[in-house]
Amino acid sequence: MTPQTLPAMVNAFAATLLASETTSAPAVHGHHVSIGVTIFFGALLALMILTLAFEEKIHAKKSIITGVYAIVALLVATAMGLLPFGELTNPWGEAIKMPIYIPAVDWGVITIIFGAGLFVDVTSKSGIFTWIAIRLTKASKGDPVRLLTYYGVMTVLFSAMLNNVTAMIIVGSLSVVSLRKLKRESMLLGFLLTEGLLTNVGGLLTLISSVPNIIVGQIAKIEFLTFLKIAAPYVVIATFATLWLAKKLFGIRRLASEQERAEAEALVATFDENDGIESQRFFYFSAIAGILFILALCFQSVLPLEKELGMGFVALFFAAIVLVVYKHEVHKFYAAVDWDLLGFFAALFVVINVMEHAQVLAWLGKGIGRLIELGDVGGPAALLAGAAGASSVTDNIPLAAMLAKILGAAGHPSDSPLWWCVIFGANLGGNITPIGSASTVVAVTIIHREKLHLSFGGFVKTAIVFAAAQIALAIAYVLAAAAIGWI
Amino acid sequence: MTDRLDQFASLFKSADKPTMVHDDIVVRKVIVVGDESVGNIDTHLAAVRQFLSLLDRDNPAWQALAVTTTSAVSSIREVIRGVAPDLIIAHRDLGESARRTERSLGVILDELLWDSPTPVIVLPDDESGKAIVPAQPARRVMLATDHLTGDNTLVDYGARFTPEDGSLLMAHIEDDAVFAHYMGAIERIPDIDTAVARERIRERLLETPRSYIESCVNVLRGAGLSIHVEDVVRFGHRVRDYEHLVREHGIELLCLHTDWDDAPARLGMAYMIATRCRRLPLLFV
Repeated sequence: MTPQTLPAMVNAFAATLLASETTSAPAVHGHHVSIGVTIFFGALLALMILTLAFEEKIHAKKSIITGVYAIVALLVATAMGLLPFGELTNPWGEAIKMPIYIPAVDWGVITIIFGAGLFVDVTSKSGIFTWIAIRLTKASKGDPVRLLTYYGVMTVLFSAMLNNVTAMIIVGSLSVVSLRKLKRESMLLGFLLTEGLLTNVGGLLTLISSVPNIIVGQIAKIEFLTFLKIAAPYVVIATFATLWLAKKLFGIRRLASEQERAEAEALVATFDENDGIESQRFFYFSAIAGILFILALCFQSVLPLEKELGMGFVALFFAAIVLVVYKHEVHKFYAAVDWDLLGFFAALFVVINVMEHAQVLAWLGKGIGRLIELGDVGGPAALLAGAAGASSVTDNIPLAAMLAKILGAAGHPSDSPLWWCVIFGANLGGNITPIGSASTVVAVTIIHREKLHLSFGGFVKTAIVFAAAQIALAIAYVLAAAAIGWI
Repeated sequence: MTDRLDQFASLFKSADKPTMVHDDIVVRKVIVVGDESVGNIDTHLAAVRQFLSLLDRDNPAWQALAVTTTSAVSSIREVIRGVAPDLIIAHRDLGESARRTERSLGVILDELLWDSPTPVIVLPDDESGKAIVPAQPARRVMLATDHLTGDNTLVDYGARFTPEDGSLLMAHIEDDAVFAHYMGAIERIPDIDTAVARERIRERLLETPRSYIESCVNVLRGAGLSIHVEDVVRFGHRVRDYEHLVREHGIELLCLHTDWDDAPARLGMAYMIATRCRRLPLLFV
């Protein structure tokens, strides 16, 4: 799968589920659906996920693949009378005519992704992320252990603030340049793998750090600050555990002699962190805007107006503010928007909406129910491990979305540890295989660009140690946090 | 994704500024090679020592080697190898029976430049082809190269042959014709915005040597050298522009680099300059 396919699929799937939560109930409750119809639509869903997995082989963009399946699903469901056609009623009791596939889309999720993406694109043009990256490189004085630690922490924070793919691209590119400069190319594979594995840990930090978080958080009604409070301790523990393992497994040691240290320090000192900054004013403006953006998200649920308008509005609002700086060339940023991804999301929302009307999700929920019935310890552990295993070979976004939808339908409260099993499992499962997440695909792409040998099996053999440790830590953390009332 | 990978890789590569690493050049042995056109070889040696009096700091051992039109190149090379000098001083048309060749430095000098890793100073000549030793040490030195960035050796030699309070002009000329050739190819690629490419490539080609020169200034100052460093970084016709700069800045010693992996190409440019700047002492590094 391409790097974009994984998050895109997950995002779309999850967002569709979110959308269907509010629109499908009458159909679900109002129609009897035969098992044959459910199996047919289940097969259609499985076929779509399979087709998306072979996106590159069939030379088709994911928005087109999902769009075709959305059209087929809509036509067949309409022919079978599964969809609730008719006028919608708004909160003022006014009837509104709207095509059925419009309310099927969760525009809240789309606006978060669109707005946050634009905001990050524009602010990264200020050079702020490269400035941070180079400052940390110089602060490491070229010592490999310090460099790995700083890059690891930076990967986690960038993944939390940006998105996993961008974080991996920034830190991975810098790793290549700086390790070559330091003549430590032999460490490059270890650095890139570690960074790839840490992107998915960083993706756990905040509610908007990854699409599964957004989707599960929305369905479970977990607020931004609550999410941060629960996720942060695990992210810190998992980051340092991963870095400790990386040092051991990849043999990364401190520089031994004074001469080596002096040489390494002189080499990294030639980096100029200000090189990428075209305007000091915009640089500081972006830094302040970034901080305000995070604060606005943190307090969105309590701020007047924002509370009603939602997180999507916050993202669009900040995107608009920073775009004003580039008011004469906004078309460049619009052109850079991943329309394929957004189209994919919209189509996937429609597909999932149809699946819910066809009772496919209810059917899948029964299987999940059996897992949860394994007990207070066994249930969450099995759900987290199962989610991780499934997301290692399929998209974590559709998976998270389906699981969250099923948990929501089962009436689990927002403080149930099961939500966190889905969040941790869906994010960390991406670390088991090179196609498990978009950011690991990026890491492998950089590894291959640098002519370093790493096969699919080689990745799994190395990464499984890290992933197993991270997943075991996550299970222990969720169970312990639930036991002491932290969740 | 590949685009974004390239974008960030470029950003970080651009942030990695070329920095000069200074090595003090110490000249312990000098061999002065001359033929009958210089007159008495010992007198010639004394004049050369006067011209290069700034080498006195290293207290080098000076040796003279007189050659004739019948001297074999191989035997001259053998003698020089035996001495293992840090610097060779020679003149144009060394050991040539035909004085004052127009488009050559002479067979012996060609061989030395091509073969020897030792820096060579080529003295100027007059209308009759007689070698001239400037009476005064050179106070204005110029480095001429189209690959200045990272050429620490050339800068070190230029700095070594610039006296205290003298000036060192670092000239980097990007060839207009080469740039036009590549832009011609870019103009035919629809995926590349030609105007943007032209502007950004020009900027980048000039920014890198400027940044390196800035580093040279800081490093040389840090090493305690009190020389004035000037720079000229621009596009132009290399040979013509270097000739022009020599006249414009009253240059008294021109340093050129020949010891590169792609020596034939590099030597070619230096050689063209050398054959045209007959009135100027040249240092081939």
